[in-house]
Amino acid sequence: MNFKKFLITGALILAVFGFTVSVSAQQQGGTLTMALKEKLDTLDVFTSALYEPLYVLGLVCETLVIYDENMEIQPLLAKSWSVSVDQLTWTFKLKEGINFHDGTPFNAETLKDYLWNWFFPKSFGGWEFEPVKELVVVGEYTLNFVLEQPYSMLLTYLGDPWNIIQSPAAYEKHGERYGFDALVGTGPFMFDSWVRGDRIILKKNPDYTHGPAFLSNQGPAYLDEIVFRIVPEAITRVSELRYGDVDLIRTVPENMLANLQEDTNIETLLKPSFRVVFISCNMDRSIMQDKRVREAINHAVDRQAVLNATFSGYGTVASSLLPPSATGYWSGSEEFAKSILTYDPDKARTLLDEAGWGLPPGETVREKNGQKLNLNLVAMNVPRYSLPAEIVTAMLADIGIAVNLEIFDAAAVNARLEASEFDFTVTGWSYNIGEVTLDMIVGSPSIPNPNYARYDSPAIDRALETVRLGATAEERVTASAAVQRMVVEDQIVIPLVVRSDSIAVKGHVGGIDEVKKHPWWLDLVLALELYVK
Amino acid sequence: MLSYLVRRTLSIVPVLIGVSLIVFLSMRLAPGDPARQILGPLASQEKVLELRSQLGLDKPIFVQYSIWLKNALRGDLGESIANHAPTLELVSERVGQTLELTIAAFCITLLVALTAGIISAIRQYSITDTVVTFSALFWLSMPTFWLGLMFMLFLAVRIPGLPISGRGGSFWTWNGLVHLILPALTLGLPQAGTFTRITRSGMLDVLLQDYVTTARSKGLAERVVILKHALRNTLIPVITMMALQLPWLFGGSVIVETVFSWPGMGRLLTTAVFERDYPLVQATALVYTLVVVFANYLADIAYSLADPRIRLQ
Repeated sequence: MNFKKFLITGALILAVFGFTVSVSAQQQGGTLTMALKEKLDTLDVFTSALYEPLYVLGLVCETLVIYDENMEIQPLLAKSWSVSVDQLTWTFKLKEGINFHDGTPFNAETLKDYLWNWFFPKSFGGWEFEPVKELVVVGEYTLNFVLEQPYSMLLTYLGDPWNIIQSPAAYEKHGERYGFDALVGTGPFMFDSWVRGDRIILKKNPDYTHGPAFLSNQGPAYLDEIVFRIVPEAITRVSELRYGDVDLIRTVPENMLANLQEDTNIETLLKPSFRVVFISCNMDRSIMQDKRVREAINHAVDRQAVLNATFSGYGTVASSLLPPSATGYWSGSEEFAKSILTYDPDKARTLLDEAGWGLPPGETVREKNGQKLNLNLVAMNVPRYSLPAEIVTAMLADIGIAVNLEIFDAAAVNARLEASEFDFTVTGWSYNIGEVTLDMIVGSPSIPNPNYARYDSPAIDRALETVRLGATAEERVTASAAVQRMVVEDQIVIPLVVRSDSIAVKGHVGGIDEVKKHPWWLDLVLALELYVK
Repeated sequence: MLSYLVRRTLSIVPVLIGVSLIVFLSMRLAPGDPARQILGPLASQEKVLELRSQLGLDKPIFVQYSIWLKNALRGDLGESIANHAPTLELVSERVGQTLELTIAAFCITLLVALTAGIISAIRQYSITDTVVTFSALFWLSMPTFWLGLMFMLFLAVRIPGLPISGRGGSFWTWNGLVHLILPALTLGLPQAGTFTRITRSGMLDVLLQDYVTTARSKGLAERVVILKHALRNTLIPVITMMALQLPWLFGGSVIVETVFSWPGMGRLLTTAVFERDYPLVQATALVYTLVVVFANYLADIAYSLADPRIRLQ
């Protein structure tokens, strides 16, 4: 190598190496401000009834296992796991050297203490672990889940982002103030402070190095600090993102999304949502017990028009009670629903004629034995339900059904639905674990809330039992598909549309390309991959 | 005077009890179950019933009220159902922030209304008068939420350093002050519209009074006539009316606080209503009532000092 070649090679090496160093140095530090739309009631997952706290909890606390972008379960706090031949004992090997943010070591003893004494009895998700008979500490980092019966849902539930692992010592220490003064997990960020109604501040956990292998950064986080600001008004959130000091907003209102997508200073990311909007027909009402009336409602509704008007076209027309992104979704749904969940107003009119609801000459509302076909529709005063309800009202008028639409706030709607004071409702559900959604919406034990339809089908209940407690994954998948098929056939709960979800970030926020690779559940991904350029 | 003060003070008690009873009943009669709101749709009926019993919501409504009243008289306004914290603690965290916003809005009202009203009156039927009158009508006709959004879109976006929303800290810091500008303008300007018109008509009335004519005939400069003779007499009723509007501003902050994410009492109240957080609604309403009653009380006392005939009535 002559001197000239040596110099050129050296310069190239320095340039590449220097560039790499400068990029990674740029990634370190900084504060990211996220705007949340709702106030937070508490950060205690055992008592909060809201969804928003999860955005904070997901950065501070972790689950034993985690779903990757292919919906495959991967290790997080657990290093590995195995199941005995009789499928009654699951052995979890835990990652070593991890401490909770309060210094409590994370090991089999503390995990058992947390799960047995805190999580199982106190969490809303505690019922998901009913088949767990005993937790046995086998070694410092090995914990056995001993089951009463084979239970293949165990791993799914352990990966549910609601089922986070927290410090039992912190629960003990803070008592009822836990969730206000403290939140202690093992995640990449630590709870710092909460000014109620205004902001929550999280600081980087510098010791965090056990992030999931499928992410490009396993820790520590690049950011020094994450600030959550409570900004209830949608337009204020969007203005803050475009012109103010907010760097990231989640679930952008669809009517503002197109504008943001055109803004060159903003990057948007569309991701699958878990929210399905559907009609629930009240089976306590004799009119609704006639399947032809329910079918007529189904065929009278143009789902694409509902999607366009409610969500500006973002999302998809639903073909199942479950969204495609949820666990347990039946992949044959679309094909199966193609001939059933169709927009066909003429067919709807024929069905009503057959059911005896004729349209007298010169009238706009159908009648049967002198009784007019008036239905009472109750919906919540949020656009995702009130807008589809208004559109459905207009579409049903077109086939001769007079709808009395009543829109109330959440508490009043819940009360009306629970008391069976409605004929049908336009409502929805959002949950990542589809098996839970099926249980809640169409399982008879959930009557009247949230099974508002009073959907009482022994066949569905039997299939749901298998979905819940099936010994093998195959059994569960088959049973889940059967439930989804029966729901579409019965048309008691009529799926309308699946909403899409979105995130919008300022141009100076880096790492969004990595985030896009993992759209299923974003909290930990955002925590580890985002940085300020 | 003392007996008047005692009578006037005692008259506050039935008002407070009456308002608390009305708020109590209206919340209980509104459909919706706080226990279900707190526990969410995943909770079983048994858990909901258990919580209802814990919260005492299964007792007859007047028993619930008497328990609340008894505790309230001891200074215990109960615990917020949704926030799991004493309501007094939550209200006291927020009341200062709403007062801060209200006072800033009041200052804007005072400044704009007096200046514009007086200029408009002394230049009656001029172009300035027409512009001021039209502007006043414009501001007072604007719905607060719309006005807030317009300020946000047209001012915050264009003026560097002007925050869009949130509270920037204490009132006495620069950051705190700049965060106050837009919400205070939104709350204060519609009121300024109303009071500009009142100031203008008050000033016009005064300018026709004999003592003003006398002052002018004595050869006093117009500036002295306006500022020394006319303005003083115009200000007394206008400022009194403005003071009586303070509670309105306090109440009007409900919408402004939501639009600008201002962490005050208004937002606390709205979320409490939607969550059917009975104790918190009750406590917040009580504070609002106290502010209104206290403002009226002070005005009455001030009147009685100024005009002893009121005491006799």
